[in-house]
Amino acid sequence: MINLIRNELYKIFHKKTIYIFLVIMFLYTILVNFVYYQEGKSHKVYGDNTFYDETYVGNEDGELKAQKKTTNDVNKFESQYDKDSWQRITIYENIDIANTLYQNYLTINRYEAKLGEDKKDYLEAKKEIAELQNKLDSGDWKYFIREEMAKRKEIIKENGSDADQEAMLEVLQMRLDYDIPYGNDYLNEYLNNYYYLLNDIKYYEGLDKLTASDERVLATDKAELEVEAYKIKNKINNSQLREIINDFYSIFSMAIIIVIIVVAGSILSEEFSKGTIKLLLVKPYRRWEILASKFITSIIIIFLAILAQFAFEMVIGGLYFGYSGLNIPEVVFDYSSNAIKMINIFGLFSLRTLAVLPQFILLATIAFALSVLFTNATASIAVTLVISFGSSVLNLLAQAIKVGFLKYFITLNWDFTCYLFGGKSPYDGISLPLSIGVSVTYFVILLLISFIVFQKKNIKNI
Amino acid sequence: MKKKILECTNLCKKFGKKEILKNVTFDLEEGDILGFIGPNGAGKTTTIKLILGLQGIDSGRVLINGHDVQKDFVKAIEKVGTIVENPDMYMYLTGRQNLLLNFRLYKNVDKKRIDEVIKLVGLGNRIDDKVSKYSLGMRQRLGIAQAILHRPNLLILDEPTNGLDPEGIYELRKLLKKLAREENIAVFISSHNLSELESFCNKVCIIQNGEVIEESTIKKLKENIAESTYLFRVKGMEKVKTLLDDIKVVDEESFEIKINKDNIPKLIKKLVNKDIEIFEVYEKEISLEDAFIKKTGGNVID
Repeated sequence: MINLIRNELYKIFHKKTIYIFLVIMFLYTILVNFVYYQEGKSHKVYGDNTFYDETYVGNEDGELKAQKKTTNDVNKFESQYDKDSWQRITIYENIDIANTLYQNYLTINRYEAKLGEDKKDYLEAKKEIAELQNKLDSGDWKYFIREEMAKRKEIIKENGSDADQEAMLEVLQMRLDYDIPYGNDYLNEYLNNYYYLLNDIKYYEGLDKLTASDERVLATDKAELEVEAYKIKNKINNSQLREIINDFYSIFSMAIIIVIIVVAGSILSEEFSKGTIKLLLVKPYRRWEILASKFITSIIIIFLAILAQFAFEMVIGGLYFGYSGLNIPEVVFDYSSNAIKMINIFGLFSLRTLAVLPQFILLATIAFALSVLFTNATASIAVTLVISFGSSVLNLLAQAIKVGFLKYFITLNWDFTCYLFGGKSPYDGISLPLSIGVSVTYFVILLLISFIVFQKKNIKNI
Repeated sequence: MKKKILECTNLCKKFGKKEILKNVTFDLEEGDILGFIGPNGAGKTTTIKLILGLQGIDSGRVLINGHDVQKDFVKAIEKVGTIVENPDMYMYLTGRQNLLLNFRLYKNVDKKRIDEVIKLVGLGNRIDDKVSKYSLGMRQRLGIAQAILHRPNLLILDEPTNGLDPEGIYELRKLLKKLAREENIAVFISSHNLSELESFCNKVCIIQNGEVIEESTIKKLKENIAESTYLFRVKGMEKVKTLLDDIKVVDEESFEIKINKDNIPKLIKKLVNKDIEIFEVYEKEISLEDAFIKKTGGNVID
């Protein structure tokens, strides 16, 4: 039996196909890392807030000229500060600095153009601009935060409670508590995420009645909020490599699945189409042993494909981003204890691998069973690929129409990632025991059919 | 008594309603080279597939070295080497790699045996080329190499000369003779082409429309055909023509006649009495081909 498996692996690794796939995987990994690299060059939370300089055409009347000059003055004022500096961002994020600044410059310019401004107002405007300049230059960013908080509190007092304002207030308080000025860095990115999550949560909590799926979203949001908060408090910087390892299966599972399906769908049927099956079947082994050796080889290929993809990522990701920060633990939310949990990033990766394995193994089993039935590689590979990529559509359908029997569909059950750390399935009526039951049942039935059919198969003329 | 290597008893096989094999029975003893002969579509390949367990047997029994193929497949097949239909090999591997894969699936075979069989089939200088670059004749040789790798005592070859040119057929025949002698293997060889088997088979089994219609040694087969053809060389063909009806005129001085051996002296006497000069009389050796056509009545597939 071991020699049969050895032979199967020998055959696979002497075919060009596997190397073509490895090259494709490698190139895809480079592409993914390149995209992450480009994206991650800066944490762009706040965009460029630059007015375009107004150009004079020469025949403007006094009012228009003053307006254009004002725009240019504001632009000049903010351009003193670097694009990513807290000063520059504060001017635009603060609820009324930009507005006041514009009004003040307009007063000055209208006065200077003798358009009927009062001298007192003119002096007042000049003073205010100088004060703002002073405050910005002093480096006391907390002052502006406090100012803004006070203003937002006033708004709430006037207009009543508002989810968005309250979320904003909480985030501003966090800036003070954890010492995070405005900027374009990872901490601002976390704060930004935190803000959106909080907004979402407050929206759902404000609803009168929650549906089951609303409740799931709310629970997930709350968990993610905790995680973001933890990362903010402890200033955990996610390197891009960490992010890719974290999202490994959402990025790479397609490449891995294609390799798995191609190998499992052709390992038997190719022997039929080339006529070499006769060579195998006249060897002193029982038929089930020959079939089992091929199935086991397909399963081994799953692990090798994952390993190869992971190795590619570690090498290419390492070249792009370096390996620093990989020792910092990853933060996850544990639903069973309702608390966040620290876990080594490779430990987390291993857990996720275990969780997606049922899907990989079942896809291999489907392709394998079909190839026993059809003895045709193309058909079994194509059908399994359709099942694999069509599953997302089916899953969407399952969420939309709540038909009871759909929960016994394998595609809704084979991904166990949602159950990690006590999580729940995103589909109604599906739980961990059901998913295990459905997956095992499909696996056993598919294999049984394969072995029975193969045992009785007549080898016709090839 | 010689040991029976292969015993097929009452093999029956149906595909749908069509009966492919009807009670096929024959056996093969130590040292036999059996020619399994029949026209295309007679059931030769199906018989071989039943023997090798590639297709299920509807009824009947196959024993190889005393082991039932259906009940004890592993034991039965252990000492069998075979090429079924075409010498299908893994094209993306070299000849040697193909042999290595085969080697791993047998116990008690020494790795040196690989080099031994390569030498035996004469593939020495091309063995490390990819099989996809081989000619059909070379693939045939590689097929034989993998078939004898594990020192089988039964070699089953299905139409091994198909697609080979005359030189290839000659080479193959030479190789098989050598193997039967050097490796002491019983050979079961199917073919629809008789002339190529005649010279080295000691037994024939003729199958037609799924039925064995003759199983005997080549010698017996020929003897069984009572009337032989005799060739006469004479002077005075005109007279002969008037005397005898069913003769075949070969040329102006000779004719052929089918006649029972016992009647030869009478015929000679008759001719001599009519002043016909006889220079030569001899029995034309009957070929297996003639015997075959005589037996099967030509090549008709039902």
